Amino acid sequence: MTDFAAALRAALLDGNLAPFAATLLHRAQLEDGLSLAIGRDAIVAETLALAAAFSNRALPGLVSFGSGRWRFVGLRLTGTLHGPVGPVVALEPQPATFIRHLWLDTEGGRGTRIISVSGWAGLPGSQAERWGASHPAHRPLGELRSGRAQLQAATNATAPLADRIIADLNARTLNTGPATWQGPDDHGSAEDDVTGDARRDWWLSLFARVPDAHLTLEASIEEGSTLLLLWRLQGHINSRRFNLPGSTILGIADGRAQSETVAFDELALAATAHRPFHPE
Amino acid sequence: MTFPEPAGAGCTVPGLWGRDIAEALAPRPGRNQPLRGFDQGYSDIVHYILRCTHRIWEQKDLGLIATHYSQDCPIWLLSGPAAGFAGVIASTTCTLAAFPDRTLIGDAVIWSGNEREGYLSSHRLTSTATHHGAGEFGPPSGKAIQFLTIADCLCRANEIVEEWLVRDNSHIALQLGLSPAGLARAQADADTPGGAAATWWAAEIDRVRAAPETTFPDKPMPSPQAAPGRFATWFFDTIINHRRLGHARTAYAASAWLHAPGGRRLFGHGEIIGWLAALLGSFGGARAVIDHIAHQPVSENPADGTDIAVRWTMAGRHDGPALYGPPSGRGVVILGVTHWRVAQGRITNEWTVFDEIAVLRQTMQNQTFQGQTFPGRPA
Repeated sequence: MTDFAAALRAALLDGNLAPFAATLLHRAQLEDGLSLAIGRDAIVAETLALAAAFSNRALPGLVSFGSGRWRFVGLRLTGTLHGPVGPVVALEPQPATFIRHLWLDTEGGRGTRIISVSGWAGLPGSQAERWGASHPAHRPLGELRSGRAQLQAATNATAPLADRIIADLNARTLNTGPATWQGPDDHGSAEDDVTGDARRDWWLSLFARVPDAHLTLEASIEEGSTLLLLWRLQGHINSRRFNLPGSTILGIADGRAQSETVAFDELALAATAHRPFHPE
Repeated sequence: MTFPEPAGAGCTVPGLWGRDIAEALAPRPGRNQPLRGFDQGYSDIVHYILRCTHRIWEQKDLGLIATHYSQDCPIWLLSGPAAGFAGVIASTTCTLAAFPDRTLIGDAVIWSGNEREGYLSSHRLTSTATHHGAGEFGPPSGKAIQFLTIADCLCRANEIVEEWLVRDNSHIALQLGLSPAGLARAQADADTPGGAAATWWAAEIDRVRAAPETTFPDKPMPSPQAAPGRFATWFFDTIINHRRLGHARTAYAASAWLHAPGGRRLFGHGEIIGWLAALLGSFGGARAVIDHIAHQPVSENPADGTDIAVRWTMAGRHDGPALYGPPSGRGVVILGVTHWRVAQGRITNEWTVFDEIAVLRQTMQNQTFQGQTFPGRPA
């Protein structure tokens, strides 16, 4: 386990936030696609609020990868949810599972930027409309596939696997995934989905909702037989541009992905439709 | 105009890469570089800028401005020029009254120069603050905000002797729920013919127009790390002045971020080119001149990249509605500063800051003193 993962565990389970703060530089920023926390103190406050929202907290899943510029931590936080976390509000205490992939961009081993991708298993009541309404947005500028116009998205069979996966999704080649898949908010699972149908159907559903959706690879980590991808999904819902991070963990064997876990914030996507435009 | 390229000296003065603020601010004995006339508490120009900013703004030692600005220091703001440390103390006091908990998070100090001619520091800050007092953005709202500022300061013998200051004022307004155009209208209504701002804007428009035009640029992009000065010149000539916007796909990494005025966070080639097109599409015939370039390696490891600071002035006629409302036909000048982080031959991050409220204010001028003959699109 990396220092960052250990510090995050101590922060979330024990309420010991000082080691977590020490993994960050003063100017660190935390971004989740809708909001931006600026400064180490703000990130520590956000993490404290997450811990405070749960009682009987446990971290049954905590994985970490990376020793270079980018570090990755994936976590499942379970417990009894009391308070609001982003768009999720528990009107009365209820069991909940919070899933989060954190990508840490580091300088000299300390974080300057965290990209957070969140999700829920067994979704409590959400207020995506209220959440979106509290995040005004600029009107869209520019296109999504620069300079491509009518040209079809291309795939290159000799490109690195990370690039091929993103290119296949942009080309809407959705039947090339691994046999086992676990998607956002625990859609599908390694146990239930041995055919890859859940993966294909989740992407079909997403692209049906957002026909112009376009993915861009932002970072990757390769460690042993694991490949991790940080990607951006851009598109439009209700004439609102969104730019949401997504995260993928791939188990690799013989140069092919054998298993895949995807994190993507479905509630942030839903909230996009309700974002008001800034005043002119 | 030519600009100095890297001399291969590496990272002689530590920047902010990988350093926490406590380390960056700590008093240090001795000097990392020649600093004739600077207080003994400063070890290099980065230390000077970070430490005096902290002492003045965060420790609230506003009087220290008297020993850190020259008596007649010109301060160039797009909202109108000012001069002298007395004005700096007054404006700093007003800002702190409105935003008393303002925290100035130093993101980068990109410097050039020497102790004889002076050091030019381009200091990028992300500020967080709460609107707890009345000020230029109206009565206190209690709202928490964040905004970018870049201060270009020419420093000699412990004094800032000239400053160019750009702040993302439209982002502040938007976070407070205010209309940038509404604020600009109120300022324009209060403007008087021949005022200091209008006179300076007109002179700057003339200066940009007088810059020699270049022939159609068809040279390959210089390496931004090996030749940052030539790269910046190529960028502004090819992409900005000759509108070869597609070359942005060469200049920027596919996953590049552009932090633009209004708090815009633009990602990837499509959004970056979209913003450039909107900016240039707002001002027919717009041209830009580079006023200063500085660059420093990010760290000792060249793979970490290079930071480049470019101060520029753009002028054009407001004849397009893309960003700043219905075309007014007025001449408009923009004082801007751009910071690039370049790595592996591409821009990976850009921060461009200028005052959009001052841009809007120029489009709302009632006088006909400036820019009426600025070349634009045919009507």
